[in-house]
Amino acid sequence: MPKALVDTLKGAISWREPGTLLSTVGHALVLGLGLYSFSSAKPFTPAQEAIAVDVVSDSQFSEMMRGDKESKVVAKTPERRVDRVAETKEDKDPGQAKRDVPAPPSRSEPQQAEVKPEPQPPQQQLAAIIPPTRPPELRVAPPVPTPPVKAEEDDREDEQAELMRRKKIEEQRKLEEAKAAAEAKRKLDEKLKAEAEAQKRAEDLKKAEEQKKAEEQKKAEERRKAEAEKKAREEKARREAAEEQKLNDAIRNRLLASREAPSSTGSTGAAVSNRSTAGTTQATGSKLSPSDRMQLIGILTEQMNRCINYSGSAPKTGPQITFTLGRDGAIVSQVQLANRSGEPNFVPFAEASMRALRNCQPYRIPARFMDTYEDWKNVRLNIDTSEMQ
Amino acid sequence: MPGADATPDLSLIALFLHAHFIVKLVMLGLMAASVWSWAIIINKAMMLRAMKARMNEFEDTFWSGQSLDELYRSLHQKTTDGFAALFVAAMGEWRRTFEGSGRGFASLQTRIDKVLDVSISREVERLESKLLVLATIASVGPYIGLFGTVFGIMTTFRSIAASKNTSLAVVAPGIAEALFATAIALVAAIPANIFYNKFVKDVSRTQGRLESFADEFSAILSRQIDERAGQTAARGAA
Repeated sequence: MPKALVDTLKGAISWREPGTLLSTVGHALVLGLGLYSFSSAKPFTPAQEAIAVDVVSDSQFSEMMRGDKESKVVAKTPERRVDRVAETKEDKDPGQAKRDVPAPPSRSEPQQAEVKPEPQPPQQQLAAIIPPTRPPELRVAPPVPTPPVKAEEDDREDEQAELMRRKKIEEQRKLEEAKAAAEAKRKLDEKLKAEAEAQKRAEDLKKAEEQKKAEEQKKAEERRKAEAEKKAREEKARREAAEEQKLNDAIRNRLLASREAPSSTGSTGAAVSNRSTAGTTQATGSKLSPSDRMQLIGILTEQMNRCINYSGSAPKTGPQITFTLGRDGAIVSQVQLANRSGEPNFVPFAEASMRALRNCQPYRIPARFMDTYEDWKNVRLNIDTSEMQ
Repeated sequence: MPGADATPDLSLIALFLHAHFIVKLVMLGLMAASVWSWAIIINKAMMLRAMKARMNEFEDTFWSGQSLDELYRSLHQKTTDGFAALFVAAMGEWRRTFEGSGRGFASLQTRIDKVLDVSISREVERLESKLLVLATIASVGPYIGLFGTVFGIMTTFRSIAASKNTSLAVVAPGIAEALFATAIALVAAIPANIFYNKFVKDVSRTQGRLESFADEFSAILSRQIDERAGQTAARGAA
């Protein structure tokens, strides 16, 4: 309506009713203030807790401590070192054989086909009776220790020296005689002098020879001595080594003879693993929902029921059995009965159930339960006997 | 502002611009309602205040012993309200009776009462005008704001579902802009409600004053009528 609009505008402008004008101006002002004060949001300063308290549940704790305490390796899934595969025990119903013996191979062909070899004379035994021939080395007489050659050689050297000396003296004499005959019978003094010189020379030579001989003797003596010492040292070392060897052997034999088995047999597990890792970085194991848990128990019970072999009446109290399942569906712990009852048929029934549990493994567990393995690995199975009455 | 560029733009304009079309409409409507309600509040407050002052002034003049004819002469040309309007209407009826044939005393009293009633109802109607708008804004405003908020949150959740991200940083801006609608609604509705209550009380008090004045004035005029009727009867008998 244009007239109403005009009236409103007139009213807005008139001073008698300034409400519209004032209101508009006021709102504009408030909006401006709002734009100014709300132009940016102040981010929160993150509150610092005085003490961070985390409530860690039982399963979270075990999840966290699953790995090795001392390992520095952090893997996605913690693993423990396994030295050998845990042995599995067969458990049979009473009256059955304790263990399964592999069946003998059946004869498909007639026996005549096989040719029996003629019994050979036991030559080996005869050979054993004959005394062993002596090895050829032993037949040779032990070598006689050769006497030291050094002294003989020395003597021979002396003789040679003597011979040489004699020869030299003769030559000298011959020479002197020739000289005397040839040139100077007249020079007597000269001859005497020459004779004297020759004698002196001969004496010198002899002296030198003697000295040399003494020196050689001394040297030989020293060499003999050194050799003897060396031999003695070697002998001593050999003896000591032999003694040590003997002692070591004695200790080893003593240790080997100890009848006590080694106290550690290594850790056991489903599969051998040569490394261990630390726990998970975050202690949040996934949980199994109650309905899934019931479903899993149902799966286990159904599989177990196929193996149960019990002919008597079921007790009113259902046995409660606890065990630990591995990821592959095998039972990795002892199967234990968690409750008791005075009923006479309780124990046979419970034992039959436990046998069935053990014999039925590995259990087929759907893959979707694998994420929550840590939550359901410890199973408590309540066997309901109300329907068996 | 420091740090304004580090955080996402959360100013009022950004909140408004990010909002859904319908939420924008709701916000604009509520804004207009707020402006309108404040305009009414200001006008009405000024009017009531002025009226109260004039009524007090008229009451003083009326009971000061001044001649009623003189008073009428000074007032009947102007536009009047409150007591003055009642007085002018009643006196006009009175004078018209005497200026004419000079007869008709028998029904004059009734006529004056009627005129006074009509004047009162006219005055009250004038006082009460546009109070209904305030009442409506006060009662419906929050609902409209809530509608905007619900719609905004709805779109926010749709966005969350689409982006597949539930972090609070993603959720918060949408919810903030949705809540902005409710904030505007409350800003509009709360003053409207307060002033509506105040004005209703003021109007009823004024109405009471007008009615008591009308009764008093009617009594005065009735006495005058009786006196005139007695005089006329005496003159007629003489």
